[in-house]
Amino acid sequence: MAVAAARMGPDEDFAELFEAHRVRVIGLCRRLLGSGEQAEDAAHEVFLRAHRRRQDFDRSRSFSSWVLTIATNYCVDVLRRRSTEARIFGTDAAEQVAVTPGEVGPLGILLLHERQQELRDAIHSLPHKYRVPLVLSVYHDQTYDEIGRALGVPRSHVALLIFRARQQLRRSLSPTLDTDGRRQ
Amino acid sequence: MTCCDELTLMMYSDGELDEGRRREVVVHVGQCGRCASLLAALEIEARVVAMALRGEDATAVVGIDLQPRRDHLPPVGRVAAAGALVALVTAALRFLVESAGLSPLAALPDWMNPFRDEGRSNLFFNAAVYLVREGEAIMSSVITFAGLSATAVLVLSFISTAAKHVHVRGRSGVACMVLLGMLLGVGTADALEVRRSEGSLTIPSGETVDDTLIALAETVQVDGNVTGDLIALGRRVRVRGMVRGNLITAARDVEIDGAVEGSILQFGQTLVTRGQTSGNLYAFGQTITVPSGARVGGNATTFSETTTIEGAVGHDVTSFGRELDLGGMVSRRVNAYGERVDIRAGARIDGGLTAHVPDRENVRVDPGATIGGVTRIEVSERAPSRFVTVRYYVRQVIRLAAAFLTGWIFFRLVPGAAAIRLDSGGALLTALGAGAIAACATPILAIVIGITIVGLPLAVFALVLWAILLYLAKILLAVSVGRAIVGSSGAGIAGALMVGLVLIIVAVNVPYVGGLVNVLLTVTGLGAAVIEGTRWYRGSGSVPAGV
Repeated sequence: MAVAAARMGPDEDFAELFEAHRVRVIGLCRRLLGSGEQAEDAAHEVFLRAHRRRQDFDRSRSFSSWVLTIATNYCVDVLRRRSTEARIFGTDAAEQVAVTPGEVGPLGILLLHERQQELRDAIHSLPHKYRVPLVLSVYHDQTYDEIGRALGVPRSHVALLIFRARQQLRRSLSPTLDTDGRRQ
Repeated sequence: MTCCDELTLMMYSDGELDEGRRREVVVHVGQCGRCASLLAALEIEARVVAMALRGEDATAVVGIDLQPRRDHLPPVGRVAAAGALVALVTAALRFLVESAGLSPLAALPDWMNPFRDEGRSNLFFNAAVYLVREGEAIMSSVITFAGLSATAVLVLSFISTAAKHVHVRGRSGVACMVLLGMLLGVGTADALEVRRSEGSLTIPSGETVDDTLIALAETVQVDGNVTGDLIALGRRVRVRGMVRGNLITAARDVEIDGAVEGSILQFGQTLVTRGQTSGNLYAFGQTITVPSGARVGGNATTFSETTTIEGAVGHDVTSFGRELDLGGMVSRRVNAYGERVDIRAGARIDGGLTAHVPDRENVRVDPGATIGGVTRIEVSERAPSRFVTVRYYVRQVIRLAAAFLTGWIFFRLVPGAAAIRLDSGGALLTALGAGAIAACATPILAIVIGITIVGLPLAVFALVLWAILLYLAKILLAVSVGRAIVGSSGAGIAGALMVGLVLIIVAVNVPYVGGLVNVLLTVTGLGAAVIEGTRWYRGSGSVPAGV
């Protein structure tokens, strides 16, 4: 297939290949950074980085996976730079509290009531340390191990961060819904 | 098995449990209705979140083109319109200036124009002389300032970190901040004092400021004493007290009646130095006067329309300007570069007089004046306009060819550098700011680190790199400009580079504004190079190997 041939090909082919994946790259950057405007800039940067490193591309891997990993690394770097604290995803003691069973409800109801925009807003409002692992898991379909490597934390902590993300989503959406899932 | 907690069920749902634990959950969920319903809800929840995130792609991402920047670039028509506008405004300004009777400003000698080669070389020469004479004092100030800045940055970083990690809140947090602020304040108070006022600021005659004072106000009047340097900025500055260090002023009207033990550096419209100055006088203004009774212990160097010296100067007088009017005493030589030189009766010059004027008749030495050395009058003929000489165009072609060749080789060696984009106002301003910082900070830092033997090679390397980047700056900018005109699909980098270079060379040769354009373009290009270099460095550092 032309894609495989183009992996190490000239610049035009590389640009074409990247173009085919741009929606996924922009989408991932948008979710990770929480901003559409920044996502566009990030996608350009990812394109430049991928272009510079194209000789390092492993033919045995898919281009999509490779370029999305670069996007993930770039976005995590951006978020780290935004925060004065380097270990924004670190093993904060606050995460290590006992996990208690909770009620699951509002998010499922949201689907029925087609309130996805509220959910998107709530996801974008999450702190970086919760939003990034959630997006990488749910949107980018990465495993906890892959997320842990990208963020520099153990997989057990990834699970806690995603768990906290979902808990916080429920909490932030609960006040806007009544018990039947209708907006108040 | 007891009921599963929500975290375990979420991990099971995500397929992240190990095999043994997964089997336990499967068995338990098959027997426990509560856990089964919780698991089902979690799975629905995950799907809802995924759908919400993916559903956004269809609406939000469509329409965002990865390479749309070129669309935002100004088309040829807009560039031409902008050029026409600049030409129109320039012509209008020139008309206004000449109509208002300010044409003499335009007729000032070329060597005074900082945007001309001669002007730059003179400025450079005098800056070098100043650095040689005052270098030690400047270095002391720079080092002190750098030390204070580093302390401030450290303390602020500490406050920021403490606030994040220690979770200082409420009164204890405020108290902590105030305490650290006081510590910082005490630390700097001994080194520097800043006083400012919107109206008038006076240091009364009985007051002594124990170190360097920076005074900022509409009117600054210093009747007291300053034991360090005095830096006074405002509309009107008057110094009647004593300054034991150097005096630096920038104001429309500056009057110095007191004593200055160091040197004076002053910028303004009307500058009068009546007092006693032990060091040198460097004055940049429209009218500069050293009246009778005043004394400058060192050299007096002036850049002005009219310089009048009736007092005494201990060393040399060097005057750049339309007219030098000398009626006082000069212990060494007088060098005058200007239109007219008038040595009045009673004047005494112990050394010689050298006057660079356009006409021999413009030098008048009164018979009552005494000149100890030789009087030389050098008539400088005004060169014809550079635009009518063949040499000028040959030089520009050579300049263009050299820049093109350098750029072409550079972009072959470093293809990534051609990716620099300056296609929005924000990017341009950012590059301009970064370039201004890099252009100013690099030589200062090089001097600071060059003090030590160990740092000297690094300083030389930094300066060489800085000089190379200054040359490459406009070339980097040219590619960005060229691409805006021809697009990337035209003749490639070479075509874009050539088009950009031609435009830039034309722009920097526009009369009157060309020099300023040259500076702005160089600084912007330098900033773009620094930003791109930083991105490249960060980019190569953050993408893992094999990715």
